[in-house]
Amino acid sequence: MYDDNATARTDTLIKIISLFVLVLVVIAFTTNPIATGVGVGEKVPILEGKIYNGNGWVDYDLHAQFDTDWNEEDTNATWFIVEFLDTDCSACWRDTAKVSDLQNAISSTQWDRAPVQMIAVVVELNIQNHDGSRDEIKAFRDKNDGDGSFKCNAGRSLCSERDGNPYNFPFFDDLDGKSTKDWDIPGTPTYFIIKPNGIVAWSSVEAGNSDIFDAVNGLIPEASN
Amino acid sequence: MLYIIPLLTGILLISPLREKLPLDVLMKKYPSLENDTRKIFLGQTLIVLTGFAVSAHTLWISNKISEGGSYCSAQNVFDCDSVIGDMRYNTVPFTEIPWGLLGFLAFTVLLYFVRTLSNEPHADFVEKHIQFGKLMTVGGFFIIALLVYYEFKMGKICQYCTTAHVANIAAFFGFYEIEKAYQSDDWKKLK
Repeated sequence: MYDDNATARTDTLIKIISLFVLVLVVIAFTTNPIATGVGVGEKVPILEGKIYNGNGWVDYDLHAQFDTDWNEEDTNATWFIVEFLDTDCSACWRDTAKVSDLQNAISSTQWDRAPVQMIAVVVELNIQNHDGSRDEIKAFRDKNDGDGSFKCNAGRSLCSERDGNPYNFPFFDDLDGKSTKDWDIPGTPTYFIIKPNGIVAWSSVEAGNSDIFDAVNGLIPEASN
Repeated sequence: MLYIIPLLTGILLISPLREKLPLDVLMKKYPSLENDTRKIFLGQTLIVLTGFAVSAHTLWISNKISEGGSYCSAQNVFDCDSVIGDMRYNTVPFTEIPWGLLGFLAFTVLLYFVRTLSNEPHADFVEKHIQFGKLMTVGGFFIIALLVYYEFKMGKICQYCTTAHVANIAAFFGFYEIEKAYQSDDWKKLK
């Protein structure tokens, strides 16, 4: 049995698959795409919404802050530290002194490394007594008690009782959990150090027990001027 | 312009205007083009090849942008970097597949349909391949609608994506013309 139709189809198929593969090979050899994700070396997912900057709630887009043309030689571009936290999470509560120290270090006039922008992304974990709100975010950041109708640390503490100074960096409202899902956050607190071009340089999820201070000192370069 | 010329030529060849085109020189070299259906096949091949090439180019741009480079950014409404580089919209929903790759795969399949029809016009798969081609390009209309909606939301237009959309729409009319030719006596004269 000989099927002429099958021969025509197979010949055409071979030619077109060859063309397809050839073009794919050219694309593969001339580009080096970077995946989106939160692993080291990946480009961070979208973080777009409202932040509280101390004065009010304003629009924010993390990707708009990135310098896509950045290269390693540029030591004056801004790096980013992103912390995912829950104002009712006890581990986040314990970390407030450390975060305050970090803020003080990068804001200090003695800071001789590349500039760093910190951002806190506030989530509401699905745990009893974890009932965040924008007022609670503001109180946690500014270290005050707001109108006194709520408490931080799962209702155990007044927000003003947290360790450290009032924060001076923006707090992102992710109470609906959208960005937390996009960023695949396993729990709070989770920290990321992000290069000026939006690529993850360090993640507390991957780093295990290593300290964020060590990571900051090891990764963020000394400024050139 | 690299894509516009073959695309427009293809559209002219599948349209009724093909009879008025000055193709004498081409027909002397390729006598088979004297058959009207062969002109449609040539036009459809040009259209689908343009879609194939521009989709591959879009995929390449998408990869380049993810590396951190800029390729076709502009301050005006025609800004393919902003469209292809927008992480909210640049992949097929619920997947990580870039739109360029989907278009590249789709036009590869369409190219297969067109070339098998042209190479073996009396085979038993002809009717099926015409119908599959029409169905695929109709499916493309929904994707185009979604992508145009995204562009509208961004207030930007990606020229390369638009060329691929036009190629898909033109390919639908191409398959429609091929179907009409298939139902005509002209088809029987095809060798």
